[in-house]
Amino acid sequence: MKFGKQQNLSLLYILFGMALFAMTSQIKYRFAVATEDVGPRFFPYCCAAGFVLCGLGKFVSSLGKGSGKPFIGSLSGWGRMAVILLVLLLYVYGLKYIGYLASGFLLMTALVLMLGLDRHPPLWKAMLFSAVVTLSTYLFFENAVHVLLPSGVWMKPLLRALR
Amino acid sequence: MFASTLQILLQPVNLITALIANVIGIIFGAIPGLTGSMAMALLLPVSFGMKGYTGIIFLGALYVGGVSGGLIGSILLGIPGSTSSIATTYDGYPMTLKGQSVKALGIGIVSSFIGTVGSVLTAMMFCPLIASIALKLGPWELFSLCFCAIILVITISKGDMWNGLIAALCGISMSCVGFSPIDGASRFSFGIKTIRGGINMTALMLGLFALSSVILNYARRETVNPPMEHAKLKGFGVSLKELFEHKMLIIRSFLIGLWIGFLPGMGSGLSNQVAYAMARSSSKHPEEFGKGNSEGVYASEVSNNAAVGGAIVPMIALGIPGDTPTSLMLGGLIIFGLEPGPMLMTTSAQFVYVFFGVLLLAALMTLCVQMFGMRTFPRILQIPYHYLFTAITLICFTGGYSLTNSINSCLLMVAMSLLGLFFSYAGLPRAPFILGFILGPMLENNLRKGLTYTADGFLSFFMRPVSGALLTIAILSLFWPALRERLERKRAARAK
Repeated sequence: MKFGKQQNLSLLYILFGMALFAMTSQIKYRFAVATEDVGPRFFPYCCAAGFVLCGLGKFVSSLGKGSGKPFIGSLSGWGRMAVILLVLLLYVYGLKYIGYLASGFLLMTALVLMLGLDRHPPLWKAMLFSAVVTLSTYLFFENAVHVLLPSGVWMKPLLRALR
Repeated sequence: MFASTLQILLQPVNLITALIANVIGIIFGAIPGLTGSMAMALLLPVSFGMKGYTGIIFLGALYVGGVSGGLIGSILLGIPGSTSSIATTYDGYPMTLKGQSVKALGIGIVSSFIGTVGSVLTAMMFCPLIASIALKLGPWELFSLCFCAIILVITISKGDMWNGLIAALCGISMSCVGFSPIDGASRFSFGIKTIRGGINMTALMLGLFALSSVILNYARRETVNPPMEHAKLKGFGVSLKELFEHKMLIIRSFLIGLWIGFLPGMGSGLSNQVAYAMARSSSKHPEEFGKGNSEGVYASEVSNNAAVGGAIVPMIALGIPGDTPTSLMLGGLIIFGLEPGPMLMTTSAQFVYVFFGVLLLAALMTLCVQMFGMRTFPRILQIPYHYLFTAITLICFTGGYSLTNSINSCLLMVAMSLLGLFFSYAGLPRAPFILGFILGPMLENNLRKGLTYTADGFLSFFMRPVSGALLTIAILSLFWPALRERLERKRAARAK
């Protein structure tokens, strides 16, 4: 028997419920605050049971129903999603190593070029825009909001050498 | 007292301070990644240096601006500035997509004004009375109210109810991450420092709404801004006749906001969703909700601003904050030398009336500022998508980072965007998820307290009249759609 998207998702919810049940049993606590207290495991257990029950309910109710509209439609769409996710992840790690200014500038330039895929914005415009926005956000958060933004592990020695 | 309060409020220095604070609040509320609460947390120390009543005026104006400003981001970008305006996105953004952005903003602005002014006036008149009623509610009633709110929002989920239930369970399970209430046992943090104290609400919201929509739009090649409204609207674009036509909706949403606002620990984040659910379930055209029905914007904006006055009541009368911004304000009041609690009205009556007065003044200022801005704000949509949303993405990341000063918050945002993508893939509604996440800790806390306080166990939740009634409503509304469908099928079969 071949399952559709909704049935597969239902099975995923049931599996998640079971995993949550197993994880909940691992929660350690030393004492109960009162004799009637149900403890910290009770609520997650309820959630786990809820997932299993709802998964079953969804499975039964979705039998014989179509899987609806496609989520993205084309393989290239999935590829674009993977690429933008990778760019966002690289940005986050970039914050740590090359700091806020450099990684923000790179993220913004990449995003302007990617999101403007049908309009083909010129590279110099993308770079200029990224530089202005990154710098103004940096100055606003550093000076007005008093948030110390990351300067980057790799950039620190470079800045020290420049000084 | 009235004359002296007015005299204090109308002093030029206080008027200018209120206006500046109000505009800052609106800006922080409007930009995704910055929130009204963040503005209060950051600017609280600034208020300490202000003399006399000016500090309180500053905080009050900032608070009202922050709550009201959230509607701008929700309506124009589909990204809620704060939890208080999540439900505004459901119909506000579709209105923008239909080219009715100015109309939606007008409705939001007028509704916000009605909600704030009405609730503050109610709070002024009935503060001690309302506070005494709120005190009588125990953990049983609070648990049942949270449970009922979640079920009500599930019942409005598009598609089937199982998806709504699963989404709410996801939210509740996610709220279990971190330390458990009452005994502080560590749960599901897997040694990760960032989530040891729980998942940050703002990071979750930014990832779920902002980042996931940018990712999805890029994947689907839908990187075009909605059209700008060119119709020439007079005033706010909302006529008195139109307001009168929605009077019942406005009154109901107002009462929901006020009631939820003054319950300790609950606030505009919950009221807007419940009011939206109620508006949809009582509408003659529920199928139009989520597609740009103005009733959705009325309900959400009246109720979230009504919670402003509501949340002030327990803060002033009992010294218990209703939500995050009021807890920050409470800290401010204590530093100003006030002792919020039952004696405040007698020991520092002037301060209390100045505080209520500034909330009214700030509501009026917000109305004026937003009225001048409502035709200008939609111009933001003229900025090409690839520039606008790139800048928003950077601000979101920076805002997320500033919450904890940790890069892990940004990583958490990316993880939450993945969750948002999964929700879109699986067709799971976001409203029950967010509500489950907000109310999860309160549900658990009150459930455990309720069980501990009596020997009747779970029965105690049904034995108390208010709690029992709320649970019955919740259970009935959960099964009613299935029951109604079956009855309709039977009726149709009989007719054949």
